[in-house]
Amino acid sequence: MKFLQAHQTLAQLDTNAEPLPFLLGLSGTPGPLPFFLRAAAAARSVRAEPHLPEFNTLQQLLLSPPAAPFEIFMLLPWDLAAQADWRSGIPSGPVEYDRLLHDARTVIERLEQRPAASYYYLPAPLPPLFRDPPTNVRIESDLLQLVASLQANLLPSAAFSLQNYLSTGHPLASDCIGEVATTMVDGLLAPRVPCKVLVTDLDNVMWHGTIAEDGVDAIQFEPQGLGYRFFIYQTLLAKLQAEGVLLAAASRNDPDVAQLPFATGRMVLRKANFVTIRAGYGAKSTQIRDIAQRLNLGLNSVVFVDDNPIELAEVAKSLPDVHCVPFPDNDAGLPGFLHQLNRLFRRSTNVTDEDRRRTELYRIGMEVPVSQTDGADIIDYLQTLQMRLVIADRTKGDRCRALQLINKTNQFNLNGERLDEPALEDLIAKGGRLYTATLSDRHGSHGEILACLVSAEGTIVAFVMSCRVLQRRVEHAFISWLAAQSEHPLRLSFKRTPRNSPLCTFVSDPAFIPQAGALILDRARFLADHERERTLFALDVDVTTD
Amino acid sequence: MNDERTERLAAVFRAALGLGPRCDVHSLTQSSTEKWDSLAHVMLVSAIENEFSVTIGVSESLALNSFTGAQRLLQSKLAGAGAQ
Repeated sequence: MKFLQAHQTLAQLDTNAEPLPFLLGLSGTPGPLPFFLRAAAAARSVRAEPHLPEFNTLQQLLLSPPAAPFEIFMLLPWDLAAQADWRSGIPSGPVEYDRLLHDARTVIERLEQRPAASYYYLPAPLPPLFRDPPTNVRIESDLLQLVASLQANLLPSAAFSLQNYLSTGHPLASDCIGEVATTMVDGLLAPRVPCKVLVTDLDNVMWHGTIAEDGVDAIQFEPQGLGYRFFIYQTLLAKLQAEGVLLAAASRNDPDVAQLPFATGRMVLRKANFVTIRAGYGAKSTQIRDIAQRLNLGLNSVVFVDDNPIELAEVAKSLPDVHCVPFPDNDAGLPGFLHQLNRLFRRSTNVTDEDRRRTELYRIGMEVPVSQTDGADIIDYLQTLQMRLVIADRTKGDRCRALQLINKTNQFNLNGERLDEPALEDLIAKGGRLYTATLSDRHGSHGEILACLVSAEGTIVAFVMSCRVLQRRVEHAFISWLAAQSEHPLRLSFKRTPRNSPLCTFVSDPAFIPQAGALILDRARFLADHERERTLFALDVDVTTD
Repeated sequence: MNDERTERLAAVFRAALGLGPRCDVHSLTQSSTEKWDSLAHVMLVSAIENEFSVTIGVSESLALNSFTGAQRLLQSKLAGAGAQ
């Protein structure tokens, strides 16, 4: 974003735009960075309110607790190793390598204490602190490793201007400020939880050319010439899909024409990599809304990629929760674009079998007409699905999927509490029990879709279910089964979160009675009220009861 | 420098120095403009660099004290770069 465009964008910002206060932590002079941050946010219809630290050194700032809901730190090498600051000149005496690294680690430890911070590291060149050149290279590399441990975003080294830094104290090159500000605002507005669905345009995004005009033989998607950018995009999508991200296509085309390139067998991506390939001439926002609805996923978990600014603007306006990402119109824009997608879909290191099969599992949901999942005839419709629920005791054995469900599910989640492996081990060691449930129906298997952790005292401390099986009454069948397991009252450690409204709807059932900050299940009432739901499932139980 | 670039430079001056949209900046000098203080000068130089993708050296920045001076400087930069 250039200066005048930034100025114009800011001038056009709606006075009622959503405010976004945050602290901008950096050493030295902020220069025009706050202006460009406000402009980059204004381009997303958000009123950025960057607050600057009272003192212009990061070290002083880190001694006080966070005062803003979000923090952005722009780090320079000398924020970690003060002796490397060009403005102080080169130290006359010897610099102790270990001491310098120790100080850097201390700063990193303080930065790690900031819960709502995001970090951007500007790898500026260092002055020659050490006599031997390899040590000067080593310190740059060690500092990079330290900031990597913070999961800092790396800014391009060309964004540093020694001239600006020496003459004004501001470290950014004027030509790069717009780009840096946009990256930072993207980071601020990025979802706190990873996105799940990527809806992509096809023409000039999945391949170079327009399929309806150029024909399947003339479009380019292979690793050569004009096809390279599109080939690389497809390889990232293939990687994301293999790791559990759902791919969908939304294209302005005739449906049969849009599918042709996928049938050539020459592209990285095949039809099977997508939960759906939509083609039509209606608004893209309508297609995206329908895809999200059929997948039972919130619009804020959807990323939309298109090369056409008009389509992007239409979707951004109609569906403000969707993350709209422009496909770059040149190769230079490709790295930033791919890293942005990678950030939006950040994933855990462990890829489970469920992740690998997710496309297949969700495709089943796409086959269910939306009209049939709504309305009063839902139970009649569910009867036709021939659902089978297998409840398993995971107190012993493989708990990987159960833990993943507990830590990734937001909508149908009892309290939003996350659980690491040691905490789970601890609860189980004290007598807790962990259950999961696997659902299948006439369309195929949905996999392990539910997890429930019950403490030794009989309190449900975690209860989560995959959003792709919402509305199927699985929760009713499971709670009915669980309630029948013991004579003791069933207590639920419930907490409302910003995103668990489907769970809240479930526990608004009159059989759940609020009591002392939790919910107590009126077992008899629940079983009586939900007898019909239980008949929807053939129930198999693989549980050893005590 | 062509009219389009001159108008763009004028727009940069108005925006960076917080002047009104109708303000005639063509005869503007630092000494006659209250809002053109040292802080605004840094913003102005950075804005010109950003808008026209040029680099202005320290001595050039120190010597830049009028709109016409900026016009001349930019013209020489762009002629040298063959860009923008």
